[in-house]
Formats: sequence, C-alpha cells, structure tokens
Amino acid sequence: MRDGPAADDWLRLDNAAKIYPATRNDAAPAVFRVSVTLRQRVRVERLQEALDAIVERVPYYRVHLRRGFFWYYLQRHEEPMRVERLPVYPLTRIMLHRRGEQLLHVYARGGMVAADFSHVLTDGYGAMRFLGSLVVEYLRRLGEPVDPGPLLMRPDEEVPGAEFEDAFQNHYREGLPRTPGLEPAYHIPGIASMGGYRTVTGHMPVDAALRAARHYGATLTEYLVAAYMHAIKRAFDEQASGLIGPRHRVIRIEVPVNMRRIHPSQTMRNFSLFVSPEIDLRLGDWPFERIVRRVHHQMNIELDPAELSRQIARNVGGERSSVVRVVPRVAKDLYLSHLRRTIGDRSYSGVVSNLGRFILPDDLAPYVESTGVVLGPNAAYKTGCAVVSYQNDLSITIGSVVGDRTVEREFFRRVAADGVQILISEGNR
Amino acid sequence: MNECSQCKVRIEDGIDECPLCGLPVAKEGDQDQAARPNAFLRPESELTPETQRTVRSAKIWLFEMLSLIAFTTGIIVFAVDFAYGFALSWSILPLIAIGFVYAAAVVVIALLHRPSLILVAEIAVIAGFLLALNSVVGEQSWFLDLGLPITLLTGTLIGLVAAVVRKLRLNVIQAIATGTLAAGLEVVGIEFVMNRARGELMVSWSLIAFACTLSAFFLILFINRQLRGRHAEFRRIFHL
Repeated sequence: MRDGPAADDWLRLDNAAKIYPATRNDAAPAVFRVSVTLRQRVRVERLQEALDAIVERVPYYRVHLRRGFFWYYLQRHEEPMRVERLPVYPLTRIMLHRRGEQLLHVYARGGMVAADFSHVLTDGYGAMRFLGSLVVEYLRRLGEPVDPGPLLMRPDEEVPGAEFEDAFQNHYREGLPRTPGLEPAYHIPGIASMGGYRTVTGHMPVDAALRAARHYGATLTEYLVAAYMHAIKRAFDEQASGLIGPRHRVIRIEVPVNMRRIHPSQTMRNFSLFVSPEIDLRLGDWPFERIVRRVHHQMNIELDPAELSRQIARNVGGERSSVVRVVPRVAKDLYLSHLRRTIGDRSYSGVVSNLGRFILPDDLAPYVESTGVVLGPNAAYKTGCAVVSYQNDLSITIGSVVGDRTVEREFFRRVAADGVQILISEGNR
Repeated sequence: MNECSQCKVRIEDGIDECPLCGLPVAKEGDQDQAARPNAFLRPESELTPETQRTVRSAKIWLFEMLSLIAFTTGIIVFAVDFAYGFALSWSILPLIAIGFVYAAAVVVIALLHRPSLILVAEIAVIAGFLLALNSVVGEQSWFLDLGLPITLLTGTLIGLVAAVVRKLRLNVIQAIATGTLAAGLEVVGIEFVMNRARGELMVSWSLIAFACTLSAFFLILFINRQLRGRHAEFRRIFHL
C-alpha cells in the first residue's frame, strides 16, 4: 500500500500547470513532444509491453483533467495507454477539457518513439525521463543488455512520493519584491494558422556548436538564443522596410530554466521557470556579436536563484492568496486568461527551450540514432525553438504557424555561417 | 546528401526543396531540377495512403459542393424563366453554360492525377458545349465547319504546350513564353479555319499577330534569363 500522494486517487495541479486549463483556447495548446529515433525499426507489440510496464511506475501521468469548484484537478485512472502510429502532423491536439482525454500519448513509426505531453502533466525533464525509461524498457524486452542506470526509472521499483510533489511550494518565500512588468514585445508578421503548424529540424554536431558558442564567449543556450533573436530581428527588418512597420520594438525571448538544477528535486511534474533576455531595437544597431554579449550578461543576471525566487513568489503567492482561493474556478479562468495574455503572450517574441542532454544512459548510444523535441504551436509568438542533444548530435526544431520562413532560415544560416555543419529535415522525418 | 547552395546547409534525402529558402535542392548530376508537383498533381501511386485518403476526401467534397452549386443555380434560373412566361425560353442558354462549367470542373476533379486524359475529356466537353449552343442558336449549322476544328486545334496546342513544359521541365516564365507562342499559332489556325469555311485557303492578318507573339516569346525568354540570377532575391522579397 502506498502512502502520501501516491495513495490518493486525485492530484492537485502543480503551480505552473494551473494556468493551462484556464486558458482553454487553441491559441497555445501547451503540448510538446519528445522523441527518440532508434537505429532499428520499432516493434510495436514490444513497445506496448514496455509501455504497459512503465505506466505503472508513473501514476501521476495516468490522469484526466477534471473541473473542481475552486480549481481544476487531476483524476487518476487505470485505463490502458496505447502505442499509436505517429501521425504526419508534428504534434497531437490534446483536448484538455474532453472527458477521458489522455494527457500523454505515445507514438511510434519507423524507428521513432515519441511522447506528446500536455504541459499540465510535466515539463521537458519529466517527459525526457519518462521516454528514456520507456525506451530502455523496450530494449530490455528485446533482450538487449541495457540498464536504466540511476537517472531513469525501472517498472518494478516503488514510486517515490517526492516525484508527486509541487516543488514550487517548497521554495516559496513570502515578502519578496514583485517581478518588473514587461513592455509588449515584437511578434513576427503573418496570420497564424494553427492547423498549418510545421516544423524544421536541424541536426548538427554538439562539439561544433559548442565551439561556435565559445568563440563568442557564450554558453550553447546563450548562443542559440542570440541566433534566434538575430533571426527574429531579420524578420523585423524586413517588416520595417515595408509599408506597415512593426508596432513594438523590443525582441524578448522566453527561455525556460529547469529549476531542478538550482533547487534539487525529484519531482516528475512541472518545475521550470524562465528568464527573459531582450534587445530594444530603438537602441541602435544590433550586430550578432552585440546580441550574444547582451544575452550572455542578461541571462547570467536573471539565472541568479534570488531573481528566480521572485517568480516563484509571484506565482505561488497568487495561488495562496485568500482572495484567489475563495473565488470560483470560472472567475479564476477569466483572470488567468488575462494574465497569460499580458505577462505571457504579449511580452515575448518567441521561445527557446533547451532541454540539454537527453536523459539516456551512454550505453544506449549504439541503439539511438537521434533525439528530438518539438514545442506546441503558439498563435501569439507564431514561432518557437526547441533544443535537445544526445551524444554528439544536437537537434534544434523550429516550429511555426505562419508561411513565412524567415526565422528558421536566418537562424540556421547564422549557425551555419559560424562553421557548423547542419542537416535539415522537415516535419516528422 | 543534397545541399542548399543558398543556405549552406545539407538537406535530408527525399526533400526536393530547401525547407529554409524553398529553392530546388541541387542533386548530384541534376543541376536544374524542377520543383516537385504537389500531392494533387502527382500520380496516385506515388502518394502515401494517408495523402491518398486526404486527396480523395477533398475530391469528394469538391464534387459535392460543385453539384450543389450547379443544381441550385440551374433550378433558380429555370424557376425565374418559368415564372415569367410558364415556358422555357431564354434560360436555355444559361442552363447550357451551367452544364458546361459543371462538366468541365467535374472532369478535372475526376481525372486530377491523369493530365493527358483531362485534356481529351475537356475537348469532348467543349465540343459538346458548342454542339449544344449550335442546336439552339443560329439558323445554320456552324459546328462542323468552325466549332469542332477550332476546338480540336485549341486542344492540340494546349496538349503540345503541356508536353513541352513537362518534357523540358520549364519554369513558370518559360511556360508562359511557350504559351504565348502557342497563342500565336492558335490565331493563325483560327483564321485558316474561318477562311476554309468560306472556301479560301490563305491566311493574312493572323501572320502579323503571330509575328507579335513570336517577338513576345523571345522577349519573355530574355527576361527569364535576366531573372534567373535574381531568383532567390525575388522569392525572399515577395515571400514566394
């Protein structure tokens, strides 16, 4: 018999997840995909067996979203999870509010195994750990001598209560100053077509990309954020030379930060915040070198744990407020939708999410060809960039809901100009 | 592995256009590869089952919509005419026109993946249309002397242009040049058919029109040559 949260048949949403069901439009479905491409074709029946075993280990993912009077909550269920054929469309549409909707879907096609997660469940770390464990279990069932190691889960082990926790609550401190308000940011032009979501992926050697980043005195994330910002600036320049110029002149990028690196936690649910490097185009010319420098210094300042705790204080403080708690969920939905528009959608030009190294043991290298991550479409930003690596393969996927390809083109051209060899593919290839 | 000369990136096998700039990808021994036609124009056997299903359902939807529009319009035209004089009078012409547009569109939908058959079927539809018109308009028959030869001539020229464009993998501008030349030949042909109906076998004014189209043909080819080097720039500026 399990104790603690593992024993309950329902879960509270973690602090970060609370905003997603409230903003129930299709403008930003808060879905993302992690994938592992194996060198051999996937045997679906073995993968199904592995999934059946692994889902027992992750009860916090076997849930449906339900409406409570004050808050949404996650209702646990025992329904089977099926391995589905990977569709051509880059991401699943998870209907959060449809009764019985699974918030996690597992797909396979060719050598690729993919998991589409609703952000209500977890962030990139939880998704990678789940998929890594599934792939290891699958290979074990094929008789391959692989071991999950200390980072991944085994189906037969007990579920630690710490994996259920809302880690934001543990690091909340009262009385911290508010986070500053943000000026509206520039958005690339074009009419967003959520049904026309498309992705372009570039694979490149990690060491070459790192060399390029070090050349500018930046980390890989800083370098990629700067390249992405530079690409959006190109879109800005093109628009500025047209008849109707851009309305806003700040390019600000949302860069999620895995908080487990700062506050160690075992949680398998959301535990990410973000930093917001920006350039103000009214402040003169922004050659690439200047953008990298700016991003480097700004991210260093914002990654300070004390700075990040202000975000926790804002988010958790809001949730704990007596007034907010007694307000019915319907009213909270309206308020949270407004918040998401003002402090989220309106304030950022795009997002760069670097998941870092995919959580897979090194001895899986002979079996794994590549890894990947795709962010969900976003009608406000219209573009998003996701990064993940395994061994010496760095995978960068840029998704877009507009026909214009300036951002992805300028991004990859910028990186290629720094001497990095890039292999480009499209969609679910 | 293919490479995009514009973006300086390698492109995964199986992709014909650079996903970043849209330029046709340079392949080994294939310097000037034309862009691949989209799913609607490729032979059905080349499509994946999923794409086949999508194309099929789109075709059915189009067919249903066209049928609905043609039927509704026909009924309205007929009703207006009938209500006015309790007889079928002027509406016969719009009804024939509706039937012609409907048949022409349905032929395209049904034979989407077989362009050569579309051409033959469309010639038959046009001939049928002219025959129907001839039966209700004019006191003397003009279909065999004028309608049918001009239809066949037009169909033959369109077929020739399509074959040349396909065989030589011409781009849009080169295809327009070829079409212009064909239009010049069409004018000569039309004058010949008209004169023949009057018992003459000479052509005159149409040769001037042909000379003009010939000049336009060379001018368009020249423009195409000038633009080739600036192709990428135009695509970028106009977001093509």
